[in-house]
Amino acid sequence: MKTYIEKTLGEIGDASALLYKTVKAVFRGRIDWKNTIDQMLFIGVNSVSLAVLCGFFTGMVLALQTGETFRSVFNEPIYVGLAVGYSMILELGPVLTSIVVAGRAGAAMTAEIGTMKVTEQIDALYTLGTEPVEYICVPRFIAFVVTLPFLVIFANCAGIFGGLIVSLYKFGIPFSKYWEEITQMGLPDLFHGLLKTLVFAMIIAWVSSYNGLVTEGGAEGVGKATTRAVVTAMVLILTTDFFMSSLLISMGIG
Amino acid sequence: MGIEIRDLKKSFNGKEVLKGLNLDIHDAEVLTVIGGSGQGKSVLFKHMLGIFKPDSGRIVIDGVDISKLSDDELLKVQSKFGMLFQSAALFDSLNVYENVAFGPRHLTDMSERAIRKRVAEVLDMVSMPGSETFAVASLSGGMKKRVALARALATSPKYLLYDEPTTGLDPLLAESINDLILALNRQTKISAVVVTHDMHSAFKVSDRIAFLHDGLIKEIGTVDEIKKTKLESLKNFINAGNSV
Repeated sequence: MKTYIEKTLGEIGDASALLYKTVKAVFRGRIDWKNTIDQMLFIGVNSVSLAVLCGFFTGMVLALQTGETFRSVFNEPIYVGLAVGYSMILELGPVLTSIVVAGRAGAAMTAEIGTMKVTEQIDALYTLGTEPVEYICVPRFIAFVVTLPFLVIFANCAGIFGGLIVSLYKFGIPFSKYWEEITQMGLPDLFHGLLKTLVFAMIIAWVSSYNGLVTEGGAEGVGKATTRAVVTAMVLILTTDFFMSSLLISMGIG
Repeated sequence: MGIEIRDLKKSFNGKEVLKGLNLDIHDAEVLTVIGGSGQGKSVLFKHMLGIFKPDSGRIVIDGVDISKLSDDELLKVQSKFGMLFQSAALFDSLNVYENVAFGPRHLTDMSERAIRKRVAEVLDMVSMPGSETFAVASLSGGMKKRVALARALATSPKYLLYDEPTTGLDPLLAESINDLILALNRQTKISAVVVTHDMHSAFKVSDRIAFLHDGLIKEIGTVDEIKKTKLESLKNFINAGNSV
């Protein structure tokens, strides 16, 4: 038990040190821009269709369930636009998109870094005058922080559009009514969702990099590290979501 | 000034791998470290590169004790080294040119034109001229080792470390790598440290050989001195190596 606690504390310490080094390098401007842009394209372009698809169907199912529930209670499918808009922008857009991106881009990132580790490419960086954190973690960290908010915005728009289609064709709610409810949301609501997205982006980049860098044991090790990275990122996203939501609500943001 | 390793100790998960190792590497020599698997040869290399921190002891490179340096200071010392990794460790997302140009781009202020010239020069030295546009995945094992060697040479390092340079190669390719190690040492006067199990390679390329066993350098000497050793474990190791 003592060994397990020592090991866990050691891992938390190492992971925290990695986050500190990464953030420090970002603020010192030690950024490989070519690599960063490549990563942005990899994360953004390759994940955009997935984010839009997930957002679209989430919006549709939200509208369907809300409309049906309110119709059975109030005999009328009311507040569908409101439910879809708030749910997407405050919660489901940021959380679901982050989880999808963690499963797609985060997993690919851990597998790539893990393979570099077990094939000694990380060690090779030292002999070529390059700090691995600056070459590997910083570009990916910036790429996630810049790209994920855009993916969430696309997912939110797709979700609201999906909700509109169900509202129009399933419940016969007029576009003007749906849109009026959507526009009741203010800037603080958008800010609430995007602030959480920024933190989720940092979590995915950090957890994926850390698990990649500590990979050991060949192909099997890469597989284990990738699984661990995705599971850890998902759990952290969901737990952080609750605490951040509580904090932001208590501060009057969203 | 060379490399001085004094009383180097390192443990992993309670198991002591290096138990107070002492070793000197002189300028412009080829020193080969031989020893069985799991004896700590690669661990020794990683300490010389500053990738591992010693539990105790000193690693002094050109008069600087690297165990006390900050990350930025350490990078300067690390840039004196070139290393040929056992698996070649080429970056598979980059082509041959990008791999070889990586060091000059990050360590020097050479213009892209000068880098291009340097890349062509070192690829020529390792008998891989004109391979700049090749993808790493398309190279054979021997070609990867040659390109990795070119990458290590591109920054004109003072010390070259070879980790199992002939492992996994056919005898002809292994022989050509041995010739290359010797030729580079004679031409460039780079100090080389070779870690190998291959006794033929060790006898061919070395000025001195060190025998690492049970976490310590048990014997060190010229090729002739090592061949005449009275140390039983070293005799067994050489005989086993010769009979393979």
